[in-house]
Amino acid sequence: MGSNILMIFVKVVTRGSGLKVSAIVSINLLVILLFRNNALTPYLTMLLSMVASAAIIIIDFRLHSLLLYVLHVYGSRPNTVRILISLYSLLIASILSLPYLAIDLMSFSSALTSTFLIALSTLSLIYKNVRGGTSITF
Amino acid sequence: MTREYKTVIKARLARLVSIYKLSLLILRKPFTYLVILATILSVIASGLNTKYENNLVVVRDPTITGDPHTMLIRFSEPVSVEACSTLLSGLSLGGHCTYYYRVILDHPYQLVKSRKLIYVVLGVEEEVLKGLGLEDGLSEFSFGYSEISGESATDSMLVNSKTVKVTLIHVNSSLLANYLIFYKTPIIPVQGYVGTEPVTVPLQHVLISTYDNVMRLANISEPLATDIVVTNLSGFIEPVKVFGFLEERYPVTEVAVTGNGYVIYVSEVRIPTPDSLISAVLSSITASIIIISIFSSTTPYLKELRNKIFLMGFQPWAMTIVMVGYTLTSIMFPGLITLTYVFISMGGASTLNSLVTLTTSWLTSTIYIVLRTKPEKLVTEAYMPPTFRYVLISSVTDVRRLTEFIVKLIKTNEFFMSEEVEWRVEDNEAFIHAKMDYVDSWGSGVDLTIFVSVNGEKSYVNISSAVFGVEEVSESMSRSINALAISKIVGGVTAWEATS
Repeated sequence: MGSNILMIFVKVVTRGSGLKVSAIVSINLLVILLFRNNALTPYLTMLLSMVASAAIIIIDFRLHSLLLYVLHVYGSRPNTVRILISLYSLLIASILSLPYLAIDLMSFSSALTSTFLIALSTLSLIYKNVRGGTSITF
Repeated sequence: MTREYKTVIKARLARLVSIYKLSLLILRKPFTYLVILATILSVIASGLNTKYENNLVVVRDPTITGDPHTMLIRFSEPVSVEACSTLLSGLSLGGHCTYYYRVILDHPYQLVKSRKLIYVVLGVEEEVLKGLGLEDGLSEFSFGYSEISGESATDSMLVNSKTVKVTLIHVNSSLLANYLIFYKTPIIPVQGYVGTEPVTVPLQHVLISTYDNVMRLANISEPLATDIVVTNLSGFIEPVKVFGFLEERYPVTEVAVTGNGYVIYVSEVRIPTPDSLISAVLSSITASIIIISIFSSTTPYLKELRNKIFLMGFQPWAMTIVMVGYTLTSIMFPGLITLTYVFISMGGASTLNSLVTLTTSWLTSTIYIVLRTKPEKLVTEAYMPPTFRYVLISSVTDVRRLTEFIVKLIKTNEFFMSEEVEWRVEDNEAFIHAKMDYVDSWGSGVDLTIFVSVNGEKSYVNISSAVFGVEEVSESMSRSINALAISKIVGGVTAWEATS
C-alpha cells in the first residue's frame, strides 16, 4: 500500500502544472534578480513568488482534491495525507525560494526568512483549501 | 423613433447588460485578486529594474576641425559662472570658459519710443561683443539692438512695471543672426526647427549687452550663465562623464563636445538600456505564466459558463467580449493605475519598461483565454435545432410552473418581440401559442405552438415553429430565427431544471 501511495504522490507531483509553473517562475525570478539594480527588487519579486504560490494552489486544486479521494480509498490515515500534501507544498515553496538561495545566501538573510514564510503560508493555504474543498472528513 | 427601432435598441441593450453581468460574475471570483496582484507586482518590478542612460548622439561632419576640442554646456536655468571652474578643477581639465546668459522672457520688456517688445536679453563677454562689431564696449544701460536706423538712440524701457532709461547701439543684424557660439548653435535662442534648420527669435525682439548690464537690468547680484562654452580643452573628455559630474551639482540639460570631424551630444533625455528591456520581458513572462496558469485552471468553469450562455441564446462572440472585458478590467485597468504610479515615482524610462511588461502580459493572457474559451467548431458547439419540431423531456412535473416558465422565456427572448402569447393549462396538459417578431429584421418572425404534457415522472414539451415573413425569408435566415426561438426555450428549461 505504501508503494501505491508513493506512486500516486509522484504522479500528482509530475503531472500537476504547479511544479512546472513554479520552476518557470523561479527561473524568471532568478534572471530578474541577476539583472537587478534596485534594492527593492528582491522583496518585490518575493511578493511575486508569494502570488505565484497562491496561484499554484488554484492551479492544482482539483488534483489535490482527487489525491485526497484516492488516498482515502487506499485507506490512508489522515496524518499520511497531511504529510504528503505538506511535502508537496514544501517542494513548491523550495523551488520558489531557490532564486534567493542561489543569488547570495548571506546578503539575503532577511529575504531568506521571508521566503520560508512563503513556504509555510503555502503549506497552510493549500491544506486549508483542500480540506475546505472536499467533503471527506477523516 | 419608430417602434421597430426602439425594440432593436432595447434588445441590444439587454444583450449588453447580460454581457456586463457575466463579466461581473467572473470578476468576483477569488482568482481575479491573484491576477490583479501578479499584474501590479510585475509592472512595479519591471519599473524598479530599469537601468537607463543619457541619450547620446554622434554627428559626423568632416568640416569640423577641432583640435583642441571645444565643449558646450547648457543649463535649464541660470547657474553661477563658477560652474565652469568647478568642472575644470573637478575633472582636472584645462580650458578657457566663455559664459552666455541667454533667456527668453515670460513677460517681455517694452521699448517705449520705438514700441517694440523685447523677448530675449543676451548677456555676453567683451570678446563676443567685439566679434559682433561692438569694439568700443557698452556703457551702463547700453544695449546692442539691430532694429535702429542710426548708430545709437535713447529710449525708455518698461522692465517689470519700472521704467529704465537705456541707450541703444546699432548692431549689425547679419552678424548677430549668424553668430554661432558652438557647432550649429546660434547665439540667439532657438525656438524650433524647420527640418534641420533652427528657427531663432526675430531680431526686433533681441537685446544684447555686457554681463554687467544684463545682470543689472535683471536685478541679479552675482553673474549667472545659461550656457558655457569651454574652448582650448587640454584633452578629449567623454561628454557622458561631464554630464554625470555636472548633473549632481547643476540643472544641466546638454553637454556637447566637438572633435576632429564629429560632435558628440549627451542630453538629459534618458532611454532604457538593453539589460533593462530584458528585465521587462522577463517580468512580463513571469506575470503571463502566473496569469495563464490561473486561467488554465479556471478554463473548465469558464467553458461551463460559455455552454450555459449558448443555451440561453447568446452568440459565440459574447464569450470573447466577456473575456476581453475581463482581462481589460483585471489586468489593464490596475496595470494602468500602477503605470501612473511608476511614472510619477520613477520617471519616463521606468514607465516605458513597465508598459512593455503590462502590454505583453495583457496580450498573451487575453489571447490565451479567448482561444481557450472559444468554441472549437461553431457547428458542433452552437445549438442549432435541425428541424422545426422539437420534443424536450423534463423532470419538472408541475405543469403550471413549467408552462409559466416557458411563457416567461418567450416574453424575455431578446431577439424577439412577443406580439401575441396565449396559453391554457388543463389537468396535466398545457397549450401555448406565441407569435414573435424578429427584432433584427422587419416583418419577419416565428409562430410557436407548444404542447406540454405530464406523464408520470416526466413532462414532455412539444415545440413546433413556423417562420414567417412579409417578404421571402432565406433558408439560412429562417434557420437562424427558428434556432433563436427554440434554443431559448430548450436552453432555459434545461438550465432552470438543473438549478431549481
